[in-house]
Amino acid sequence: MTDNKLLKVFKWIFFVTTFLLLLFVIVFLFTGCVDKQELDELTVVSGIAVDEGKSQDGGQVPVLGELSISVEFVTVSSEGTTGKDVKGKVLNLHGKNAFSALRSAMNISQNKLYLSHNQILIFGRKLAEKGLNEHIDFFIRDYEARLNVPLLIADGEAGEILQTKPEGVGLISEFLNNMANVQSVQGLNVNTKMFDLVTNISSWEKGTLIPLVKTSKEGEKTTLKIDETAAFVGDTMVGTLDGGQTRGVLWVMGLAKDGLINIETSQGQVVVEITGSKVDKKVEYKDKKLKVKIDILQSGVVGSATNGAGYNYDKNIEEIQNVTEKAIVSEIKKGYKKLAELGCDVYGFGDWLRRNEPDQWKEVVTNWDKFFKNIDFTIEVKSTIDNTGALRKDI
Amino acid sequence: MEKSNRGSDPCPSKISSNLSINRRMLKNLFGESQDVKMREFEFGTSKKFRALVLFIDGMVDKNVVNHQIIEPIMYSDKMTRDFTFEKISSLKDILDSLVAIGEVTEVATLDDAVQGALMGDTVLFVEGQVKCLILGSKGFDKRNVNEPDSEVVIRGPKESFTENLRTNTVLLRRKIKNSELRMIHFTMGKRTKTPVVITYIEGLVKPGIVEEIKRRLKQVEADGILDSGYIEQYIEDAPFSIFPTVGNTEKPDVLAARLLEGRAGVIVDGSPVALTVPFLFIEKFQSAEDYYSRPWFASFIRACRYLAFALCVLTPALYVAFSAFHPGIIPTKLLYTMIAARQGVPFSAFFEAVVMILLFELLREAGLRLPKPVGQTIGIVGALIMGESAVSAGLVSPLLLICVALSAVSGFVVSGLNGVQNILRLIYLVLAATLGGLGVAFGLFFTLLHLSVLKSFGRPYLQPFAPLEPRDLKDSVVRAPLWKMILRPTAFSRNRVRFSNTKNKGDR
Repeated sequence: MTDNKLLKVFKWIFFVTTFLLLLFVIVFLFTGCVDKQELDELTVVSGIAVDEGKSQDGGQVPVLGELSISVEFVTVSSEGTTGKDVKGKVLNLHGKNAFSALRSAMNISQNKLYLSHNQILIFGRKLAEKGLNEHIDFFIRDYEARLNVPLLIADGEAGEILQTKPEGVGLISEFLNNMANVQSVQGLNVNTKMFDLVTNISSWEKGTLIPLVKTSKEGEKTTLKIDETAAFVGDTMVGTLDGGQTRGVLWVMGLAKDGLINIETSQGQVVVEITGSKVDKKVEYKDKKLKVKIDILQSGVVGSATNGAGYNYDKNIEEIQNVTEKAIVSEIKKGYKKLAELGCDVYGFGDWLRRNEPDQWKEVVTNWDKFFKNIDFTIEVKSTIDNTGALRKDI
Repeated sequence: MEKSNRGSDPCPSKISSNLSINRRMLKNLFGESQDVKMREFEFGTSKKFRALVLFIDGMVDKNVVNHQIIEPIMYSDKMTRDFTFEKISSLKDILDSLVAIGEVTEVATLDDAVQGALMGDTVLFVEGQVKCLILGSKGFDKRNVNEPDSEVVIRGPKESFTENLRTNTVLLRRKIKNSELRMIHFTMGKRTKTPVVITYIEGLVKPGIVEEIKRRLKQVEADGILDSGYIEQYIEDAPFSIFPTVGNTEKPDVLAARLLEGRAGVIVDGSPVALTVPFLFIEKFQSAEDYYSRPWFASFIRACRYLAFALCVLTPALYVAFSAFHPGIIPTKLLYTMIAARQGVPFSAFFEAVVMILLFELLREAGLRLPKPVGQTIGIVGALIMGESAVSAGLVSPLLLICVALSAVSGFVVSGLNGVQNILRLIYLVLAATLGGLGVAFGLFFTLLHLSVLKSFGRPYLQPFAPLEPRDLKDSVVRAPLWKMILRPTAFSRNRVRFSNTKNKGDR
């Protein structure tokens, strides 16, 4: 009797299990998950340029309240069993805002755009001067768009930047991405990513620097150049800084870790390569003025020099160090002058004060602009030259 | 000897003192079998006594039967001239002075007598006696001891077990020349009556394990036991799990090492594979060679084995999961390559992967079964050509081919877990195709869950990882130098100290 019962139980278990298994198979294997898409159905976007709206037929009249987005996407074709050919194509999209513009790509190409591999985000200057808040919301909110995308501001039309074809360049977005990264190595420029901008917008009165990219024509060819930065107060662009001024700002922020300083010593020109710098700053409000004390520790090596014959570095290192220090101070001052003129607190002094000395900050907050323009700087630079390259004496 | 096995051999068990009755009963038992030989002869002065010798042709050593059993009884001077016996009161008389055989057993039932003959011994019936003698005279053909097929080592002993139980126990005895090495005999299988030996080292093995093995073996009601694999499947802890909970080995030195760690072994007649229990997950990643080489390279290779296992099981699944669900994770340049690779391929990544894996398994199986020279060629050429052609024809993408090839090759590194790897690979692949990375994570989680719960003869399967036993980690992912491994793994033995030159730490 127990055998029969056991048999029944087994049968029941068997059928239930089969049913569940079948269910599982049908539900999952044939419907799949929402997100699933094959690789060749992806339209991988590698660069996005956002501009003010232009009328659809390519006219120059700006259409208010609309955006023109140029998107560079990647087409990959395989050559036989090995090798691949990666080409970029530019798509021009229009829409009321960033999201609709990007989604309207479906009307033109056959796929939805895939944003996760976007390498560069360029905003046009006019748009930047009007304020970027409403336009970057999509890029922060969307799951696919990444927050570590480098930003650039185009001096002119952003779409044009994407459509230049400098020589020997495959994907223009990749080229721009590399340029943005390399600039920071050069020390004259900054590499701002989306999350930097977002953080600064959410902080109190903190400015941001974003590289400015221009097209320049050399005869027949167009090349791209970055030699200035755009200064932002919050989300609005207020002006530009040139290379020297940018570095002056970077000194105070402790970001001048690479780069070159050209100095004139009594014996000639020396080029010092920066190997590192550390900064210590203290902001306080005293005697109705903001006082900022900056201590900079900089180390460098002598990169090249054109001195008089027989210049002995061991004896004259002091001189080089002194001159370097003076050069740094003057750079900082230049940078400050420009920022004060623009009213842009890239250093973050206001924010620093707000966090560390809230009482003092309360007194300053109402007239911040005025105070920012009149800062008393006490700058102390200690510069050390670690070595002089392979030579201790000139030839 | 055990009690006679009833069931498939219904026969009267008693031996009659009348030789012709015995003969008739034996004839009934064996029927028409021509290889069962019975020889009656007379001996003694005035040919007073009769005897019957029963043996199976081919299983006995003819020399022994002729010269050491029949000859002494028939021709010895004692029997012909100096024989003073008037009658044979008991077999002891013959035994003491005439039969020149070392291995002698006296039995009282026909069943045991027949069993003895079937084992290859000679049975001696004497007229007027109700008992008979089983005389050891085995002499059948057996395979030589040669190199193992599956557990190949470059450095280390190259002997492997054969199908003969006695040869195997001898090989083991030669490794452990200690009286504490016990061999307990069992007969299993109603019709095959296969002899099985449980072996362990007294004093090292954890009490209870041997009893447990005996208990499980007694419960087995099988018609025939043809290989140790049968026994493994009958006594294992988790028959429904894909992970093996009973270890096996073809080499006597490996078996000896495991016995020395406190495990128990089961050797089955007719099978060159010996079983060891308890069995832990990490044992499949250990190889005998690890211990014969120096620790640095051995540790590296052992860590590689874990990596190979992970690669084998996860590569196809991860490829499908990443390419279909998470292209954002893939580095940009690689993504372009993958897109290029997938141009023009008509099937989904999952389908491709399944087809490629199946194809590979078919090739491997075909290569195994074909005779050696042809098998090698088919294996390599087939795989290469098929792969290349499939890519050219646009049926699969080259990147997937590499993934599957990598998976297949790494699968061979830990060849003992072949079955496990195959199934896990497919399961993860299906999960990846339906739920992406999350699916794989689920799969991994449930695998871990299953492994943690698994036990092998009372030992947690994942020891020494979980429950964490830091001392035993010396032999898991890395292999600590031998002079550091002074304590036995806690899993198996309470007698922890291996070497006696360290102070005896006593029982734990």
